[in-house]
Amino acid sequence: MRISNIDIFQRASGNMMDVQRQLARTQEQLSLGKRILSPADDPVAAAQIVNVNAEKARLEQYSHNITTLDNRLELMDGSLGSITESLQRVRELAVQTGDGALTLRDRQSLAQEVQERLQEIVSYMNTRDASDEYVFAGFQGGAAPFQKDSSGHYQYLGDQGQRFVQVGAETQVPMTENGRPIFVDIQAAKQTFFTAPSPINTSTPPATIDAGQMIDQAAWDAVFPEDFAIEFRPLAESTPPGQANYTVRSRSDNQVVAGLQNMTYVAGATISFNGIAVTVSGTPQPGDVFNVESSRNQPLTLTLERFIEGLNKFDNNPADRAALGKLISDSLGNLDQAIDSIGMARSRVGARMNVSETAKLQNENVALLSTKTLSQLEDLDYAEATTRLTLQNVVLQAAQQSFVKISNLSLFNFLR
Amino acid sequence: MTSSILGIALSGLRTQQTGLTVTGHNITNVSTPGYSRQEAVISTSEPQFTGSGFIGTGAMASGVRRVADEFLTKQLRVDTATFQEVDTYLASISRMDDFLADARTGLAPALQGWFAALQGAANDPSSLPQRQLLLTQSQGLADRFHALQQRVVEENANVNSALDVYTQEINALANSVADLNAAIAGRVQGGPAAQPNDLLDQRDEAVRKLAELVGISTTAQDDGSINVFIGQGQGLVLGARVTTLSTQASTTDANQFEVVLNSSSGPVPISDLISGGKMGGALRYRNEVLDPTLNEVGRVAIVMAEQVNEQHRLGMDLEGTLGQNFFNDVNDAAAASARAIPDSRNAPPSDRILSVNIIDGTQLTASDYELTFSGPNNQSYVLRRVNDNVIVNQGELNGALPQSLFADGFNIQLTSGSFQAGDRYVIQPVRRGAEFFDLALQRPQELALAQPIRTAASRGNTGFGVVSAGEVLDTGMATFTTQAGAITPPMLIRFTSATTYDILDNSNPNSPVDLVPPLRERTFVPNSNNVIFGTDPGATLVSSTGALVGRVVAGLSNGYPAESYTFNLLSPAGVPTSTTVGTAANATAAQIAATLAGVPTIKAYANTELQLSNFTNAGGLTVSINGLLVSGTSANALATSINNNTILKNANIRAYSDGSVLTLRADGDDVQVTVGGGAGDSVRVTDRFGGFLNVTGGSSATVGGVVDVELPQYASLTTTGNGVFTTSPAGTGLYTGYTVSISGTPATGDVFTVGYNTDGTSDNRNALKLNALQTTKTVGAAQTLEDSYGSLIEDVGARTSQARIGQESGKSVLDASTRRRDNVSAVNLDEEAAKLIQFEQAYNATAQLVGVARTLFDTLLQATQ
Repeated sequence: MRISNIDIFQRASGNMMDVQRQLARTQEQLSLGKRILSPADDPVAAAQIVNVNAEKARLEQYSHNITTLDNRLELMDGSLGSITESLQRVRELAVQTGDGALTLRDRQSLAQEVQERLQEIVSYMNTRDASDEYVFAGFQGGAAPFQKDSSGHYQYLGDQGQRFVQVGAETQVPMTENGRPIFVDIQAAKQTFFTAPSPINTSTPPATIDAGQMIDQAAWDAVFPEDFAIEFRPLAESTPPGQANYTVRSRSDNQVVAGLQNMTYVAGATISFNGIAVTVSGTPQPGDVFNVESSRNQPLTLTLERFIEGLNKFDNNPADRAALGKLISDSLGNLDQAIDSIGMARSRVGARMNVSETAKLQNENVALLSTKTLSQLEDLDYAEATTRLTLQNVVLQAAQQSFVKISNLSLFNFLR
Repeated sequence: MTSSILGIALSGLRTQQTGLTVTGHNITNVSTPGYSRQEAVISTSEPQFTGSGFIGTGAMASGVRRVADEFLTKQLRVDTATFQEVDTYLASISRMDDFLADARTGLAPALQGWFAALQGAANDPSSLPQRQLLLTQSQGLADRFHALQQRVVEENANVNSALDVYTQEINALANSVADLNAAIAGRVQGGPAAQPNDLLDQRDEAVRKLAELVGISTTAQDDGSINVFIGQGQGLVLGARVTTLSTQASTTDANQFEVVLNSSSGPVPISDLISGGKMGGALRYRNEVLDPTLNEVGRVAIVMAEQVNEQHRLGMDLEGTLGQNFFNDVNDAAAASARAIPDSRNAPPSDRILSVNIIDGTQLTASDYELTFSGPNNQSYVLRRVNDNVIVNQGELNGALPQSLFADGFNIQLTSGSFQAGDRYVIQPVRRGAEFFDLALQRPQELALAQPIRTAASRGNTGFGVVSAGEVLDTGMATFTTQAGAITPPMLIRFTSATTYDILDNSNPNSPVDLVPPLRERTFVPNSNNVIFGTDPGATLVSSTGALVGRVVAGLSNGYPAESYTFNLLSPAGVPTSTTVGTAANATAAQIAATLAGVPTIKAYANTELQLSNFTNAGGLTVSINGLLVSGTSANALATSINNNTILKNANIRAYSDGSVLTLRADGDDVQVTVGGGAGDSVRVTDRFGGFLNVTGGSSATVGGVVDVELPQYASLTTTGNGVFTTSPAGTGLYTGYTVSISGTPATGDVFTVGYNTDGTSDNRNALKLNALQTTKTVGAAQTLEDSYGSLIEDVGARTSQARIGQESGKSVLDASTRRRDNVSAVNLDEEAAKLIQFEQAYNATAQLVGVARTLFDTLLQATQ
């Protein structure tokens, strides 16, 4: 077959360029360690690489999340542990107060220590994290969840919110515990009540109501779960008119509790009905309301406050001694319940630490798998690439040498 | 004799000289592109007839023949056009391929970074640095979208300028082909050995160069000129006449140039007809890569912005206000109107105003659409999806504007103007999504990571009910918009028994009041999930407002007439159905409610309320409720005995006394009050509407309950209107924009509240919902955002890979046909060297002939001396 000179030259240069391009590509693969230099090299693998990289990024974020979660859980666990220790000490004090030889003054000094423990416990319940967030406040982490109300009793001002954190593709773990179930909704040893001044009260300084004492459990159980309201009535309704007076009503049917209608108010005097005794102090205005609500639960702070009030109040006369005895036994029961409740919270926290540990392991496994997949998808087989490089080298050299030889052959060389 | 010998010698010298000239011409043109080697055509001269027969007269060069094969030349042209197209395409698509997948330029890392920052903020929602980081990442994401968009815009500009250059080059080449045609025409009649060889080569080369630029076809004319056609037979060169090409902005997209043929009847757009050559490659790149890439990226941007905005608006920010748009509204006016592009050829006046709003981003496709008013009247329209050529909407406008046409998750809003037959619009729902993607939030506090509602169980609850955290569905409802930083009204759910509850307005927490209309005595199923506020945005409440309903009447029956109820419902499949039920005369409200609640998807509740007062005891006053004698003659005493009566308690009849007035409530049963004693003994029975009867000893009064019917969306109720309900009672909306449910076993008196999440700075519920978008299949309802981008990379990668293969095969085909042509037509120097020697030797020999002739002549001269 006839061959033209231009063909010889073009063929040779074209072939050499091809081999050079292959060489350059192999060299780039070797220097990057990657099989795929652009998605076109393996479009399917390229899309998988995008997905695997996204998954790796997610897993990395999950592991950050788990660290955050662990820090938060440890912080909560520490606070709960400290509260339990304080409660144990209060429990010891409560046992001591049962000693019949103690005078009111002795008990008042014990009450002083319980008061200090209460402060300590509240400071733990108002624990803040590194970014100044109150950890037991539910969603309202910007403000201390346990604060005193106008009667001087600690109230929970947080909410029942719980924050979750993503620790795996399908797993969200609660990272916070709000104060309600741990410190407030503690099942009381016996059916009980709590007192609260109504927020609509108008007296200034606000008239206060104490935590109240349970005198006759059976009488209270008989009306449970009725709530009561101590309403301060217009001065004109008293006998004789013109005096501060109050009426006690049951809330479900609005009926007056036996006999307690338009009673003349004496500041600091005990108001007793249905087995309980409460004390209103200050100068309540007509229209002021103090609620006495029945409850199966008794907050931790209320247990301590009621205990302190009782220690400061009950003397050694027989009636007071009986009430004191009941108070001490109720308080011991309620302290045990509180310790239980905190123990349960700690076990929830502990369980979550386990979940986070499991999630961490699982994520690490998946991450390992992703890395492996990624490596299979895009990493270079060095042995194969090196062999290929050598081969391409040889081919290029052969092409170059043969071209020089062939191009030297010309009839014109002999025309002399 | 000698003269003829000399003559022969001379002819030989001339002939060999011609051979040497032609060979020299070949040697010097060994590197000339498109050159076809030539051969001297040598023949014997005409012989002389003599007595001794025909005697040769020598040789002559009768012409110069061009060694060329028309078939090979044509094949070369075709293969050139094919190769140049795929080569240009590959060079362009490789750039885009690298750009999309590169970690520094692609979208995937920016998306990952955004979700990572979101989770960081979710873990510590009150932290401003974390929020700031999320904002920064969001800006980075927007920048990345813009960079992608910018890159495609630049590529598009490159295509535009390339088309410009190509048209100029094509015009120049077409002109030289025409010039050569003119030079060649009429000179080819002398047969194959007398053709203007070099001109033909030049013309073939010019045509081949044309084929590098654009696919062409040629036809030869009798006079030796050729006609060149492009596209589908559009004449570019006809003889010596050239029709030029030029570029102009496309009628459907001013940013894209199209190629037009400047024919005598005006410019004809031929972009869609062109294939092959560099121009074909550039156009193919634009159609197959640039537009789809922009659409895919734009779709990701729109879906992301829409979904994030939608969820973000359901949230509450650090300052307690409702979430705003996180990114720019996908339907802001500029973006919406940029999605509809009128064809520049639409009939004047250009007064049509239309825009395209995204309704549901998850349904969007990455295609463009074409809206045409197909005639024959001005109302008929056809909306066609370009990618698969499917008609997605067609019909007739109903005349009045504005009107909207829905398809594939978007809505074309025809606002005003003279839409008429022949109008054409390109609808690009997603094309510029990346361009309009921008961060709308300014300050880190504005990130709405919390939810605006929170629920609580009252401390005094004695049961074991659990209220869900609640979920916000629509912050556009009056619940959220009436007052900033509050829900209106805040709700209180109070259990009136273990299985019934009232929903009350908790605006004043000290005295919750009934809602308007009241929601009382609703049924609760213990130990199951009871939805208190539902998710149905169209749920309505219809109350019995008949003249007798809930009124006090004398006697022992409530006096309710029989009634028939027809519910018009929409089945889950969207099929309208209708169900009719009936109730008997004197049926209690509870019975009516139970009957109505038997209709699927319908809920019905009943409640009864009455008051007893003005107890006048002339000595014999007794009161019986539902035939049961209850002791007492005062409100307080009666209340106590009613509440202590086991039968009444089981019937869920409850009494409340304020000392003088006794209020009785029941969940829909009739309450019959019978007064015993004489004419002087009486009790006033008052209904909830203020109507009353003074019931004296020996007579009775009855108060029936009211019925509330809850209808789902699209349902309506009509009745016979006999007196329980009106004929078609109007409903009141029940949808609050959030949903809350209660489960467990609440006890009587238990209270749950739903309020605004004031100071909820530690709440991250909305952030978690936003984060769920990372793994939700939001794009085309089949892919996550990241998947969608991944498949774009895969698609462009596959096209690039295909183009590589195409380029390689195109190259080897072109090489083969170049080789075939060269092997026929191109010069081989060895061959020419041989010819050189051949002609030189012949020349030398012929020269010897001259010597012989001279010797002969000399001999003759000497003989005559």
